[in-house]
Amino acid sequence: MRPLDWLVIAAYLLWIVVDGLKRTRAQKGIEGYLLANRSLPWWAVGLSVMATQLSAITLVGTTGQAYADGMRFIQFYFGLPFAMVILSVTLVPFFYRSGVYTAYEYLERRFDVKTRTLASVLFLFGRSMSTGAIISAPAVILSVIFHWNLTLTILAIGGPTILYTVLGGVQAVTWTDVKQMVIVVGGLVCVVIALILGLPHDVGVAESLHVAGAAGRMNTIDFHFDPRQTYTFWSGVIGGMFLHLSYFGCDQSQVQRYLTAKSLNQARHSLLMSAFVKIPLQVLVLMVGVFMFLYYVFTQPPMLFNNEHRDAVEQSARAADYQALEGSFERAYQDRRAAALAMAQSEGPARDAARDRFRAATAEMSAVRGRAAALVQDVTHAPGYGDKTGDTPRPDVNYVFPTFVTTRLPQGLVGLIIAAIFAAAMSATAGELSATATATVMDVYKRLLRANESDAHYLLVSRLAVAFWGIVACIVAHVAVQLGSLIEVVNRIGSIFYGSLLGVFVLALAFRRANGHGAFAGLLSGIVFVVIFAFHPATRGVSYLWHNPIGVAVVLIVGLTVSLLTAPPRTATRRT
Amino acid sequence: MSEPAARPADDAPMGRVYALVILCHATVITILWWIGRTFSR
Repeated sequence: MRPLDWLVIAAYLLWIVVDGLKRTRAQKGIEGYLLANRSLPWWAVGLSVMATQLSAITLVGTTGQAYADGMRFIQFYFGLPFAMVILSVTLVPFFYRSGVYTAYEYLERRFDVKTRTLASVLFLFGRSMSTGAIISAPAVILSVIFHWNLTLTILAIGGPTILYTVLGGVQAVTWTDVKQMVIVVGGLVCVVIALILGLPHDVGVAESLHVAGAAGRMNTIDFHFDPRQTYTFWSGVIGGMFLHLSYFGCDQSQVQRYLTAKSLNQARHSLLMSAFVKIPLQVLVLMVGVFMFLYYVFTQPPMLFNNEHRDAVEQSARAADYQALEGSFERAYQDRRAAALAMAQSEGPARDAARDRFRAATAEMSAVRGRAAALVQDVTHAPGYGDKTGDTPRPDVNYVFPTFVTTRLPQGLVGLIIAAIFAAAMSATAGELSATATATVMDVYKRLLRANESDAHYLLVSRLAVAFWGIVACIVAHVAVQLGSLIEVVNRIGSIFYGSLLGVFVLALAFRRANGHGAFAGLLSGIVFVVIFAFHPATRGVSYLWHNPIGVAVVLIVGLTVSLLTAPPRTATRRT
Repeated sequence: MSEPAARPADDAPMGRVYALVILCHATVITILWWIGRTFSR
């Protein structure tokens, strides 16, 4: 890191935090603090919706995943546009017109208080877990760059975020998100340009993409129906649609975003903005990973990207073994580079032969890397090195992008990307903290504990709730980084709860006969079933995207059965 | 004869926008499939 990089980072962080703090003046009451008095334009809300989903994990985890496994992750988003249309027709008008603060308030109006409380508590538990993973992503980067203690790094990110969210409320969150999106997209475009310029002069972009394709990095769509494959067309369209229906329809962190819009149609437009823009944006993110792979085809990559683990092995009694592997890795790399150049510059049978050599050398590099990972696991006992994402040891995936940024990008751009990662994490975390505080105050504190306090009292409690959940997130962040590819950690945690939460909303909207007992029993059964399904040895291998439709199905079956066996709700009795 | 119930001012019909979303999505998926097929050969 050079002075210009530090200057860029300092300027950006100062801008974000000061701007967040300026919003404090606009906070006159609880509705302003939690819903911005329902006054925000659709484009700002739309950018905030996307920014809340696109955290620093997207930059670190997804780019690393594309480097190791290619473009297939894009299928995860194939159900999103369908989900946005369905939500714009169904849940968004319900929430917006009813004037609720949280999605779960609607469940009390339709069913009863125990269903609302259970849904809200499940949201709070799931979100506090995943917010931790969101904070840990940039902590990984900073600890790699500066060799900082991970715990202190997490506190350095969490502290300022908690501060400006506590003071600025949802206004600060939304307008910070807008700035974040501009910086993140601008930064990604700059990185792609730098990567393309980093290719050898005699290798064009199209030829290089053929090289990436030969290593399986351009596999965008897989039409095979295999529940054990995480990302296929079908898991994306069906499982992804259920996941996004639940995320955008039942997760307070997103519902709160569009409840701040000026009108119902502006709320709809803010969601439909994602339907148009999200997939192209994710393609841009994934292309960064693919071009990083290509960059390291023509420039030798480190055998393992995690500096700390590499240093630990090199200082251990197994250092000679590691050095021998480095030699094998370099020979395989030189073979692969020569094959890639031959492939990019030849036609016909010569090109086919070069492609075969390229694939063989890539497999050899992967095998050597696997042996190096086993060595790291022996020496450091770090978890996860036995698993792979694509052809890369799973814990190494998260270190690819930060290593590239800090060692290969020019002065100034390093600062811009680090600032973007920092701000992305802070803004996404701030959105989650605002949402968890809203659910805590409105669904638990005000509803169950203190119903008739003043506006100023609830405003104070909301600020305390933001601080509390911020501290919880920092604690969770400390362990999240050990669990593997960060983007998958967040989505896996979410998928345990999301399907069942969606199921109870479907029960509410589509089945008039469903009652509170049915909804409560269904929601509880759905969660228990999905947890067992996710961890049982026989079903553990099923892609987490399928947990969402399974959760919905269990809630509907149990919910309707219990409802039919108990007294109908009052409204249903009147109508029949 | 009664007038049809008026829609609230902030609830304009959006059928065409929804159709456009699905059409664009289908186009994007087709382009991605073509890219994958072209460069993975």
